[in-house]
Amino acid sequence: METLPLCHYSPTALGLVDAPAEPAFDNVTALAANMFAAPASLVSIVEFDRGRQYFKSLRGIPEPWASQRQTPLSHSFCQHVVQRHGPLVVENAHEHPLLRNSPGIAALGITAYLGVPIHGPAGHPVGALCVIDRRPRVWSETDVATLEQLGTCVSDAIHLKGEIMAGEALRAEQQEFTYALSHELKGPTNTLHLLLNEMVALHSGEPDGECAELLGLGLETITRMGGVIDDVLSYTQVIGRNLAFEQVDLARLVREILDDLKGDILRTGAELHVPDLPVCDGNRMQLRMLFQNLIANALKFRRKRVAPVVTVACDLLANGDQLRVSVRDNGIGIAPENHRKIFHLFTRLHLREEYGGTGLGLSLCKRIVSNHGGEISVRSALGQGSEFTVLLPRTLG
Amino acid sequence: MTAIGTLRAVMLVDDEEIDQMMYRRVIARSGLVGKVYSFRYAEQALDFLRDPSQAPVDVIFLDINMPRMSGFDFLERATAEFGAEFAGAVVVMLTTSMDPHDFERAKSFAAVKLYVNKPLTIEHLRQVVEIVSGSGSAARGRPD
Repeated sequence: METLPLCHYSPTALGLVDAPAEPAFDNVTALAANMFAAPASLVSIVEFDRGRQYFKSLRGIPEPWASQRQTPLSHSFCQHVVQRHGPLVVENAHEHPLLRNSPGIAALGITAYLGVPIHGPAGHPVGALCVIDRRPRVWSETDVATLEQLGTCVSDAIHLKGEIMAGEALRAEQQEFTYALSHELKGPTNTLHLLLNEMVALHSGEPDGECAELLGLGLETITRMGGVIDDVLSYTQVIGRNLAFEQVDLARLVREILDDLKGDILRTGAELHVPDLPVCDGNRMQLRMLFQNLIANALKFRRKRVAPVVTVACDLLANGDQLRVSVRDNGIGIAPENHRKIFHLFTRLHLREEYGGTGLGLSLCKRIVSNHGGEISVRSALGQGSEFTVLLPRTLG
Repeated sequence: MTAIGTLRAVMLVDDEEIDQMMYRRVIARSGLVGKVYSFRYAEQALDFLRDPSQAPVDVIFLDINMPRMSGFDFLERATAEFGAEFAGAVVVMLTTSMDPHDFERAKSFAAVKLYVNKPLTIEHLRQVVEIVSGSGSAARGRPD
C-alpha cells in the first residue's frame, strides 16, 4: 500500500528534539556502545536552521553537554554525516582534514568516530547514529555495515512515530468531522420538525385526510433522524483516545440508570435484580452509557405479554483484578448467527415498528468496553432471553 | 404471456414502511404493474419464491440494508436455491450511492439488471419494463 505524504513532520513535532529520552533510542545507543566496546554513542538530530545538534539519546558524553543534551553545530561531527547522506569514518580526528580543528574533539572527547545517517519519515536524513572512541581506532567495513543496520532501527522507530502521529491526526480529524457534521444536521432537523408540526396544526381540521397521514409519517421520520444524530454524537464521544479514568461506584451508577429508566420499568412491569456492586476504575460517563444501554436493551427486547425480568450479576475474577458484570433478561433472545452482527454499526434485527432504535447501542458498548481494556460477549438463543457479559480490568493505568 | 410494456407481478422487498408506501404510490400511478407482493423481511420474500403454488414474479425491487437478512444475503440465497436467473429482473434499490466494493458485489449477480437510487420514479419503472420485455426473460421467472 502506498503511504500518503502525511508524514512531513518536523523533528520537534516528532518529539526528537527538546523531548525526553525514549527506550526505543536509548536501547540502540546502549547496544551500539556494547557491540563496539565504545565509551560513547549518540543519536544526534542535526538542525542546521537552529545551529545545533540535539541528542535524542546519549551515552558517555561529558558535562555540560550531557545535561544540555545538545551542542552548537561547530562541535558536531554528525552534521557531516547528514550533509554527505552517508557514513563518516574517522580513525583519528586530530589528523582528519575536515575535523582536526573542530571544538568537538576537546569538548566531547572524540578521537575516533563512526557515524551513519538516520532518516525522517519522508526518507531524508535528519541526523546520525554514532559511536565514539577516545583513542585512534580503525573501523572495518563490517563495523560500518553493522552500525548502518542499527541506524535502520533508529530510522524505523522515527518512521513509526510518524505513522502513529499521522494515524492519530486522522482519527482526531474524523472525530471532529463527525461531530461537526452531526451538529450541522441537528439544526435543519429541528427546523424541519417545527415546520412539519406547523403544517400538522394547519391540517388539524381534516384528521382523516391523506395529507395529514403523510405529514404524520414525515414527523415520525424527522424524529427518527434526530435520534440517529443524537446517537452518532454519543458515539463520537467514545471514540476519543485520551480517556480520563476515575474510581466509579458502580452501585450508584446503576441506581442512577434505573432512575432514568423508571418510566419504562413501571410501564412494562419489569422485575429487576441488582446485587451489591463494587467500585471500579473507569470513565464514569462511558460506563454509564454502557450499562444504560445494556439494561435498556434488556427491558426493550421483551416478549409480548411477558413482563421483563432483568438480572444483573457481578463477580471478581483473576484474584480480584478483573470484574465480570452480566445483564440477563427473559426477552426474545438473539439467534446465534446474529451474535456477531449485533455489535456492528447501525445493525438492527427488527422492523422499526417492532423494536425501534438506531442500531448504534451495542457498537457503542463494544467501543466503551474496549476503551477500558475489557471484553463484551453475548449468550443467547431465540426465545431464550439474552445475557450480555462485560469483563473489565478493575484497576487501570 | 406478459403483455409488452407491463409487468404481471412485482415483488417489493424493503423493511421501511414508508419506502414501501412510496413504491406502491408510484406503481399505482404508473399503471404498469399488475400484482404487487410486499415483504418487509427478506426471509419472507425467499419463502414466497420457494412456494410452488405462487406464480413467478417479473421484477423484484430489493433494498440492501435490511434487518437480519440483507439484500446481498437474499441475492446469494436466491441464486443458490433457484439459479442465477431467479426472477425476470432484480432492481437494487439504493438509499445512497453504494461504495465501489458493494457495487461490484451487486453486479456479480446475473439477476441484478438495474440499480436505482431511492426514491423509485415512474422513469425507473419504464426502464425496468424495457429491460424485462426486451430480454424476454419476463416469462421465464422462477425455474422449477
